[in-house]
Amino acid sequence: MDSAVIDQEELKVFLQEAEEQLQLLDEDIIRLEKEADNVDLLQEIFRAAHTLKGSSGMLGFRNMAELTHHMEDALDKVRKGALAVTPELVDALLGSLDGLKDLMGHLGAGAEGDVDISVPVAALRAIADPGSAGGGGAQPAAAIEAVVAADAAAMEQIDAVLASGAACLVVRATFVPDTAWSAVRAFQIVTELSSRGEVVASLPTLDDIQAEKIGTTLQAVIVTAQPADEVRAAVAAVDDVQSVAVEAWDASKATPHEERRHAASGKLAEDQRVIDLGPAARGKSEREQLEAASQKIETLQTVRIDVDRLDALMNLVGELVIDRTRVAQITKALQSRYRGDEAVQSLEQIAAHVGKMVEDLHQGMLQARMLPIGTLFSKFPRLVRDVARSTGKQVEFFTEGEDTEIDRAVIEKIKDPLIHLLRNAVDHGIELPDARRAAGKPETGTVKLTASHDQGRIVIRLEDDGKGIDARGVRESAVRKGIVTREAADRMSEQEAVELIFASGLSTAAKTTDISGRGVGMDVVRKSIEALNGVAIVDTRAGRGSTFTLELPLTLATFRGLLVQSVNEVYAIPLSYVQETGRLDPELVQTIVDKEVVNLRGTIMPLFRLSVISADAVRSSEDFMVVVRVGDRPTALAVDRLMDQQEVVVKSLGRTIGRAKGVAGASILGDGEVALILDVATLMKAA
Amino acid sequence: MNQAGVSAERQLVVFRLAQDVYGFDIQAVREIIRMQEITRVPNAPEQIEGVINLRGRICPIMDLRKRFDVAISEATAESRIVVVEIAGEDVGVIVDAVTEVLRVPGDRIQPPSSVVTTADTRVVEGIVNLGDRLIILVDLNTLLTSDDRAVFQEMELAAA
Repeated sequence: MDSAVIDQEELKVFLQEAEEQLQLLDEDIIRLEKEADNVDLLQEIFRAAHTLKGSSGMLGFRNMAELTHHMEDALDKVRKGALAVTPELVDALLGSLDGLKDLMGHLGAGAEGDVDISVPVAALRAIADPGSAGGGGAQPAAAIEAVVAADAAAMEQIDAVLASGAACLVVRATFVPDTAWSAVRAFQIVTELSSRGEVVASLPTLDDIQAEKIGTTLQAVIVTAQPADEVRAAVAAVDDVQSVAVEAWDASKATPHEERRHAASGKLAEDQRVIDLGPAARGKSEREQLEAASQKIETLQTVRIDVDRLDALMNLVGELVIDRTRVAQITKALQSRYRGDEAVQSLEQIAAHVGKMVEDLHQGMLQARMLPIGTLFSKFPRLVRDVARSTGKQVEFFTEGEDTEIDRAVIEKIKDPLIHLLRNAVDHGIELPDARRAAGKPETGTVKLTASHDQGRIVIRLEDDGKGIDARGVRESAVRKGIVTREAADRMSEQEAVELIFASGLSTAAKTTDISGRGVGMDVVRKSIEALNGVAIVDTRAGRGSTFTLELPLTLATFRGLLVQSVNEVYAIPLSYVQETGRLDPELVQTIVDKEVVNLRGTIMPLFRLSVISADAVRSSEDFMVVVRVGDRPTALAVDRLMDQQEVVVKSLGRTIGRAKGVAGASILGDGEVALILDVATLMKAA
Repeated sequence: MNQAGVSAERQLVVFRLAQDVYGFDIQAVREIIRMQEITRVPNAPEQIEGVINLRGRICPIMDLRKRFDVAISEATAESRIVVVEIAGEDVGVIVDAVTEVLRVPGDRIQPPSSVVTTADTRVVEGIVNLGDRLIILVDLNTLLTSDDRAVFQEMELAAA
């Protein structure tokens, strides 16, 4: 049988962790290409591959274990200086990662199945093992000394202890066979040891013990002032312990057994036979478990939470925010009615306090939904490298501001637009090395992705030092494709012409490549960003490069909105769309071919009377206007009254209503009234 | 649905709409509230009157008179909004008056027949014959027509 019966929960945890390891590998392997001498980095990569091998092997995923084994094999050779970090090696490693991702996709869907891993395996072996890959010897029993040796921090601690003259002991306990309580006993022992000194390391780790990933042995290294005999007696007193050995730390044993990790596929099959024997035999893979656990330590202080649950909490808090405003309003009303009344004064104090706490809670919830944008950025070095390699470009990729936090929902939604922009930057922006040299630029181009906060918004900037966007080329292409007329194109400023790249149906590349021509165009980029209440701006200089700036709200759950009244309803307009507001003087309004337009300081824009969307065909005053900008097109909205600006909590209209054109959702105002949120982009299309 | 109704006793919230008397199965009824100001939603499906603020939540309001094609009258002091759960979502239904909560033996519920005066018999689960009067038992699951559902599916696909 290939895989033991694994429960869904276990599989989910495995896949989640494996994904993290893969992400780590992805980033690190790209870095390794540039930092071939970075020993720590190499060690980290090795450990991640090893962890994957261990955890996949433990669950019986043979293909995955085999592939990671070959990666580990190659990496080990690099570590020992037997293999150089070459682009070919990096390709082979990255190819293996793709194979692993593929395997994981199948695992997520059910079974490891028939994913063919022979290609990445062959690629790795061709590089790592040009000769034949023979079988290896049996794996010696894992010793805690080797584990500790691999952990620089633990070694340092031990060295310091020994230097200070204190004692460092190694404890090895074996439980009676077939005890059902080994995890409990191991935990007791570790607790016992902790009370007598400091446990530097244990095998299995405390995490694994608590997860009941334990065989019949427990090894631990402790720093203690107590004599070895006393420690031995204390451990022996624990039930179910068959034997205990306590000895002084022997540094000579703490040399990693490199040969062990250096076996080939023959040995791996053996590994798995052992694993398949069931939990009793799992003690033999303790080392793998330990390393898997050591990777977890970093995330120990965090809790995974279901996104839906988080969203549900966010909704509740959103309602609290609304109620807080109402309570404040009612309290104010009571105050003016019963001035000086003690109960009302108390109420006011309580309301103020509750209000403050609700505010903090709201901020806290918003924070909880935030992720550093680095979680997204970290996926890009690989992308840039792949595109650069397949197009023959030389590109140096920098990121900045990875710590900038942003709503996770926003992160999800800007991923594809950013991928598109990055591909474009490398594929169309950066020139080939020859062309760059001819233009007097360094052969290696630069692509820089930065994120920062600016007045409650997040600004993402993508700069390249490539050839820039050819305004004339865009203009010609747009005319040829019938997007604009020749006259219109000729009247356009440089900037306006460049902005045409956001029009649908336009691609400036002389030939559509596999990389950039994937059906998503710049129009989709702008639309995706605008759907988030964001703005996409392009700035380009011929021969010098282009900068794309994306301005986004920090969160999708709330936004700053301008409230306006039309007929009897209140509407909220996202402030990010609002260019200006003012009186709608009748002399501003003109009629062109039966359509009303507003002539505002020489700019002609369509006029949309908001009253037409309300069901009652009441003619209202419409004395005011709000100029909104969608893309580069301003439109004047006629409204009856301009109200205030406020933070608007977005609520869905629900499935029963579904999508109503021109309406993006609803919000409940401080006085309990419902305001509809205008979807400015689709509203204009309805006009 | 009708088969289940044959044996079991059903409890109905009975309401009046124009000349007819209707009932909702009480299990689907979340609450009954007074008429309140409804915010109209432009471009919403025709039977949707608008939305209200139901204790901090947006609740869509449906006007059954538009759905059943009966005369639309002005709201009175007796008008109520019956909040029911349809396909996992709360929806308010405007009625002219809620008259009573009634226990009905299953064998009094007959399949819809020509007795029904509404234009759309698809939304009728059965007719409760109490001898002196008839109550039209509304099938909430079909209240949103198949056309509406197709629109939902389209939306959900688009959202996915």
